Amino acid sequence: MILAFQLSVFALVAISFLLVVGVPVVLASPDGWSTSKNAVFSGASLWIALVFLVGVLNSFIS
Amino acid sequence: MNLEILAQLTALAFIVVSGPLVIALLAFRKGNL
Repeated sequence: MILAFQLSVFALVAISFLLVVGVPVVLASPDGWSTSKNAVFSGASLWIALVFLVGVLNSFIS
Repeated sequence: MNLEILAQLTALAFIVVSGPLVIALLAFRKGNL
């Protein structure tokens, strides 16, 4: 269970970094939003799911 | 080597690097700076 928690936190940190860098780049790139809209929405959805997953897993290990 | 310190420094490096990385990527892609 601890391993799943650690992997989830690592995934959350990694996708947070990708979104922090990627979203402003997509929004300010020429024609970026229309081509990368689905990737941004998928990343944001995955991020929200990971936040809740980390919260649930945290209650199992502590 | 203390693993916790290493992880904290790695997270700090991610945060510090992310700002200039956005500027560099936008400049490379000729975005709206």
